[in-house]
Amino acid sequence: MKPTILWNGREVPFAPGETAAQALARAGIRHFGTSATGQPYAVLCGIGQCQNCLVDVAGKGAQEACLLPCSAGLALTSIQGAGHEQ
Amino acid sequence: MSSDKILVVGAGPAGLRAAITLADNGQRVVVAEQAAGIGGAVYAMLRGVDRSGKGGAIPPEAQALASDLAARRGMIDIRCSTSFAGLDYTGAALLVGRNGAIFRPKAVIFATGARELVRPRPGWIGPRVTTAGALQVELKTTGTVGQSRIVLAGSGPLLYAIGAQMARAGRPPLAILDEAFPFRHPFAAMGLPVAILREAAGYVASLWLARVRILSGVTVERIDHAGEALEIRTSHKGRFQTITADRLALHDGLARNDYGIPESAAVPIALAGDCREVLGRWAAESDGRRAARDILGALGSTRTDKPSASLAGYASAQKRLAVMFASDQQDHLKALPEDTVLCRCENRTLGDLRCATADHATPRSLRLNGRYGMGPCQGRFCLDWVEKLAGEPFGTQSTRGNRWPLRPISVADILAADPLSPNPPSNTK
Amino acid sequence: MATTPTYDVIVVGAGIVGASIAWHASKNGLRTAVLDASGPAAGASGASDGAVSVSSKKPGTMMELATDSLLYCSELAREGVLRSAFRKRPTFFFASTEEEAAALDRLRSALGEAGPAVSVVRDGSPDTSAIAGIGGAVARVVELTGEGHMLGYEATAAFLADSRADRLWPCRFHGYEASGNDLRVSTDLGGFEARQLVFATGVGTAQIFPEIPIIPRSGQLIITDRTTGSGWHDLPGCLTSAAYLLSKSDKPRPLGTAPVVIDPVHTGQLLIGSSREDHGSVSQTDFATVRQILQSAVACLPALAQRRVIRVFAGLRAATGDGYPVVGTVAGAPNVYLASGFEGDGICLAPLIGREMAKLLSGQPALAALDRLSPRRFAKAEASAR
Repeated sequence: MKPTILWNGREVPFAPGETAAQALARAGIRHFGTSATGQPYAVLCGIGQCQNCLVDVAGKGAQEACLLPCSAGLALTSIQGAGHEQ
Repeated sequence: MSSDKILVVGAGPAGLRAAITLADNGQRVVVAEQAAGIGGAVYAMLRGVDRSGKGGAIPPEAQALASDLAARRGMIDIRCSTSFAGLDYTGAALLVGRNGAIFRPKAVIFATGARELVRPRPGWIGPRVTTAGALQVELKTTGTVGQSRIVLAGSGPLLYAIGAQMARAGRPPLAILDEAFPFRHPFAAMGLPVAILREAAGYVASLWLARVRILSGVTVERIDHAGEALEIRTSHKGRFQTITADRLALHDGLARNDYGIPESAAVPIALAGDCREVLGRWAAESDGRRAARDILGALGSTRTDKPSASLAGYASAQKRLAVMFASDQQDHLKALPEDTVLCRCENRTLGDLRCATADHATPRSLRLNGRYGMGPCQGRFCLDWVEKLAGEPFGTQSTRGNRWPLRPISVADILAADPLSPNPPSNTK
Repeated sequence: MATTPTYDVIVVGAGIVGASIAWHASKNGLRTAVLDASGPAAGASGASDGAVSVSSKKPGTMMELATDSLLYCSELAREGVLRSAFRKRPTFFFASTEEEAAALDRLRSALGEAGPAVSVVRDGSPDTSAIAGIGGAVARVVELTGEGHMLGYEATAAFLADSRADRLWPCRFHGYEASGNDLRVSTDLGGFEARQLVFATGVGTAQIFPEIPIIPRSGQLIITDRTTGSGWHDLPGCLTSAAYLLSKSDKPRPLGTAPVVIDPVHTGQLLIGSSREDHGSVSQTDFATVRQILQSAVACLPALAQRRVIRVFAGLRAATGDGYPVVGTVAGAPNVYLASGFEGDGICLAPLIGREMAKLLSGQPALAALDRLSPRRFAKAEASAR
C-alpha cells in the first residue's frame, strides 16, 4: 500500500522523497486554489521563488507545494482568496 | 559571539565544492539547502527520488562531488529542507525548516544558482504554464514528466538541454519554439569550449533521434487555457499558427541572483557559481573553489590547495551563446497588449505600469504605489521587465529584494529557530 | 542658468506632512512648490504603520490635536482627496497585567475628555470581544470606534496628485538666505525666490536646524503575506497592547520588550510592530528584535503563528527631546516654518497640520493649541541655559 497525503480530504499516493507538488501532479492535480487577487495557485518555477504554488497545510498555514516534502497523512487543502480589495 | 563555522547557502556544485575546499583548509561548514536533497538544479538527480534513473544517469562529476562530500562529513554539516532566510545587520543568519537555527557565521558563501528569466506573455498565468526550470526539476527528480504534449518556448540553451533530457527519458517534447536563430551562428558555436560542444552535440542528436520539431524565430503571442488543454498561438515572420498542447514551459534566459544578499555586511561574504555570474555547470565547481579561497583570505587563514582554473574561457563561451540565442526582449515587451499581467503577485498589468510611471514617478513610488515588487516574490518575476519597459530612471536595483526574508517564512518558523547562540545545534540527522 | 519663478510657498520635504501642507496651501490660492531630495514618501511616510488614532496620543494637547485631525481626515475622505487612502476601522486595546489595565482606565477617562470622535464600544473579558482566538494571557479588551488607518505613501500620493503645487524632485535643498522681504532658496535645480518656506523634513531637519533637538528613532516593522490558511479569522481592526500607553504617559517608563501593535491593511496583509531605537539607521533590522515583536504578537493572537512574513523594514521617526512636535516659525525668521518632529504621529496629524499651516501661510490665525508646539521653545531653553 503506497503511503498517501490528503488533498481536500481525498487520498493521494506519493513516492518517497516526492514533494507535494509532484505527488499532486501525478494525480492530475495542478490547480491548487485561487489567490486574493484572483490568480490561480499552481506551480510556475518549481523552486520556491515565485510563490504561486501555495497550499494550506493543516495547522501550519500557507506553504509552497514545490518545496513541501510528502509525509504519510499530511493534510493539505486549497486556498481560496478571501476576496480582499487590492 | 561569532561562531567558528562558515555558512554556505545552496548545495549545488558551486556550494558543495566551496564547502569541500573550506573543510580541506580546516574550516567547519554549515550548508543550508532548501530542497530535500543535494545537487542543486543541475545535479538534482542526486536527491535520490528518481528510482527509475530515467531522469538522467548521475554524471561522474556529480558522483565525485557526492563522494568528496561524504569523506568530509565530520567537518561539513549539510542541512537539507532547510532554507536560508536572511542575514541581519548584526551578522546573524536565520535558517528555517527541518534544522532551523540562528547563529553568527564567520563568513557566508552564497551559491544559490541563477535566476530564471521568464517574460510575461498574454495568458501566461495558469496551471499548465511553468518555467523550463520547473520542468527540469520534475524530470530529474521523478524521472519523468507528467503530461504528454509539452512545448518548450523562449530562447536559450536550456531549452535544448531539457528537450534532449526529456527525449532520453522517453518523453520527448512536442516542439521547441525558439525565438532566436541559434543554428545561423556556426562560427560562434565553433568557438565554444570542447566540453560544451560535446554536450551540445549530444543534445542535438537526442532531439533529432526523437524527431522533436525545432522551430526558430517563433514567438508565443498568446496562450489560451481551453478546458483540458492549452491553445498556444505563435507567430513566425508574420504568419500565425496555433499549437494544442498539455503544457508549456517558458524560458527567456538566466541571470545572476543576488536576492537576499545584504548591501553592507557584518561578515565576509562571497558569491559562488551561477548566482554570481551565469557561466554554467562547467564553471561552478571552479568558482566554488575560488569563493572558498577568497573567504579564507578574508579570514586571514592560510591556504593549502592550488588556485582554481581561470573562468575566462567560460565567460567568453557565455558571450558566444548570447550571440547564438539572441532575442530582442525589448521588442517583444513593447508588443505586449496593455492587459498583460506583469506582476503576478499583485496582479499588475502593463497598463498599470504606464500609470505608475506617469509624471513625477520615482522608483520608490513605482514600488509603493504601483506595487511592483511589493508582493511575496519580491520582484523576482516582474522587475527585470519593469526596468526594461519603464527605462533608466526606474532602475530598480534599490527596490529589489535585498531585505530578509529571502522568501516568505511563517511566524512560527521564525520563532522556532533556536535562539541566538554562537554555534547552531548539531545536526542529528 | 535656471529661471527663477516666484512662489508664495516652497515646501521642503514631500512626505505626508509636506504633501498635506502643499495641498492645503495651493487650495488656499498660494503659488506653491514642493521639493524633495529623492521623491514622495522617501522617509518615514513610506516605512510606517499608518494608524490614525487618538487613543495612542499623550493626553492633553496631543490628544486634542489628534481628535481634530481625525475628524478632519474623515471629512477629507468623505469629500474626496483622501477617499481611497483613509479607512475607518475599530481599535482594540488589550491588557495582560494590572499595570496595563490601569493604563486602560486612564485611557478611557482621557478619551472621555477628548470628545465624541472616539468612543468605547465594549470593555470586558476577551471572550466578549469581537476578536476570535485572542491569547490566553489577555485579561481585558477595550474596543474603540472612530479611528482609522491610512498608509502614509497612499495619502502622500493622493495629496500630491490632487494639488496644483509644482513638484520638484529629485532635488536636494542646499540653503536659503533672506532676499529683501523674501527668501532665496538654492537647490540642485537652481535658485528660487519664495515669500515663505516650510520645512517638513523629518529627520533631515537636524541638518538644517541643528539647534532643534531632532532625534532619529528607528522602528522595525513586519509585513505579512496576504495569503491565509483556513485557520485564520480576519482581524476586524487594529490590535494594540496597552503597554504602548505606558510609554506615552507624562513620565515615560523604559520597557523591557516592545509593546506590540497588529494592524490589518486593506490588502489583507498585517503590519506588526514596532521597536524604538535611537541609533538612527534606516536599514537596520535584526532577528532578535523581530523575534521579540513576534513573540508579543503571537502571545496576544496565537493564530498569527501561521501567517507568513514577507518583509521586515525599519522607518526613522523624527522625535524631539520633549516628545512634542515642532510646528511654527523659527526664531528670528517670521517667514520660515518648521513642521517636523512628529515621532510616529505624523500620519494622524498631517491633515490638520496642512490645514493650519496653510492658514498661517495665508496670514490667518491658526489653532491656539499649536502654540505649544512652537520651535521657539528650544531657543528659549538655549537662552536660559547660557
